[in-house]
Amino acid sequence: MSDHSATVDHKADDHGHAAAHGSMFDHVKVYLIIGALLFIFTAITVALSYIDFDKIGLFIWAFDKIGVHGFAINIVIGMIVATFKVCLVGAWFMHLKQETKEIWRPLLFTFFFVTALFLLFVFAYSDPIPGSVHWHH
Amino acid sequence: MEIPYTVRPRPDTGLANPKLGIWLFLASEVMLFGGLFAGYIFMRLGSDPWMWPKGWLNVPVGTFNTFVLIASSVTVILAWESLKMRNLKMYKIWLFITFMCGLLFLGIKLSFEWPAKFGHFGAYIQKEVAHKYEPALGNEDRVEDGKVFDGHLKRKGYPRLFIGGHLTEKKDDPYALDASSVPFVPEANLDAVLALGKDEKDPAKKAKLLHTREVTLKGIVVRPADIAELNKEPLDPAKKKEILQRMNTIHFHKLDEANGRPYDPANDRPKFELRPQFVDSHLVLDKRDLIAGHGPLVPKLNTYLATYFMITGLHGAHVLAGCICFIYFWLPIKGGAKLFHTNPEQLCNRIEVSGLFWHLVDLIWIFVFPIFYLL
Repeated sequence: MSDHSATVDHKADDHGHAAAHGSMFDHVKVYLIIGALLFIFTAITVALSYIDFDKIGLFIWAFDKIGVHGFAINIVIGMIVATFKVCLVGAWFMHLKQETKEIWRPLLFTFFFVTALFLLFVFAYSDPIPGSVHWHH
Repeated sequence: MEIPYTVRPRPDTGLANPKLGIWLFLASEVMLFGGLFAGYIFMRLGSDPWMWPKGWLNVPVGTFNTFVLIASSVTVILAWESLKMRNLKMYKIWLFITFMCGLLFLGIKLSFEWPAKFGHFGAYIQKEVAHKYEPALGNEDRVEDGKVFDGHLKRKGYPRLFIGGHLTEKKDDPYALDASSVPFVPEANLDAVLALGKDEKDPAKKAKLLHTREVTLKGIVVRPADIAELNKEPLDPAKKKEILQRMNTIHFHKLDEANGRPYDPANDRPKFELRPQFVDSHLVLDKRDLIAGHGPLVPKLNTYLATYFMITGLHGAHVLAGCICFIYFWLPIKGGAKLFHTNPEQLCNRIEVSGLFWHLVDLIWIFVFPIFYLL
């Protein structure tokens, strides 16, 4: 028993890294699975773009609840799949899953600000200075 | 000077410096692309439905490029794992594949995708002849309320666009062209034609006069009967429209280069010309059936392509930067693969950091691909 642990310690010293080889192979397996999932979901994204969700009753009904109509349904669904893929890359490839709070903290700010940035267009629909916005429609 | 904490974690942050540095850099990158995506959202929502094209980009090629980039994301992480396992041979193999994937991605972009868009023209079809192309038209984007008739000319049975073109009809004015979508206003050109022979009452002389003004009206044939018709008081608007239409569709392309058609591909992009487009195996788009000519869809004329070139261009620059980093770390030089023999953990961190950057590039493409190619 003591011999075995001595071997492990020796390996860790030798390689400057604590992880044993067995877990490395597990990592590789996980990366390949994530890669395969990304391939599959890319194919799904392409396939979904050929479906007119605004012609399917269930989707019309469901998205109507959140005020999304017409082609925007396709956009929302496409973005959901893309976000899922991005989460896969972030969590496993970029190791965010096991990252410390020192990494997470600045990222939370980024997330907050980038979301705010994406929502800026909402201001385009309000008219803070009455009469300053002219719509064609 | 030695940069501290490249391998060991810094006591106060608990992280090696490069790791924290790259994450802060990635955060700024997210904001950079976030700004561009926000601009995209704004322009997309603000544009009229028929102004935002769908299907201009080649989906199979885009999908292939997405696969290439995802594959490179997997290989870069395998390169990093190989380094962790102290396997230099596998590290070099995986990193080289990553580098080649990056080059392949850029190659497809630069040799195929962008040039295809540089030579892309919009065509506007006359309403009366639309029926000729009807069998080949997939008008799924047609607005049915009669206000705007919008269709993409595409190969029958193909879900994707073949050439970019819009059939634009407004209910109150069947030939009104949206000035924002058409690079010139035909009416103004007609007025210029009329102004030339303004004081000449004899239609025959007037036609001759116009004919001799080669500089301004190069090769244009204005029929005397038309001139007479146009000089009638009061001028019949329907007649004027009809003549205008005929002049534009048949002779407009012969107007003065500089003033008549500032955006003519022949003037704007001399390398290109409009060739008859096969929209179906039996059908050829006749030049004379175009409502007001055609314009190259360069960024200055097209918001969509301006956004597309901006975002994919910046993304492409990132891919190039990644490739440069990878080949540097691959080559047997002091800062590259040779580092493996002196400080393998530092090389490992270098690959981790450049790998994180590469994953961000992949991550951005995951959004770029659907928004430009599919939606």
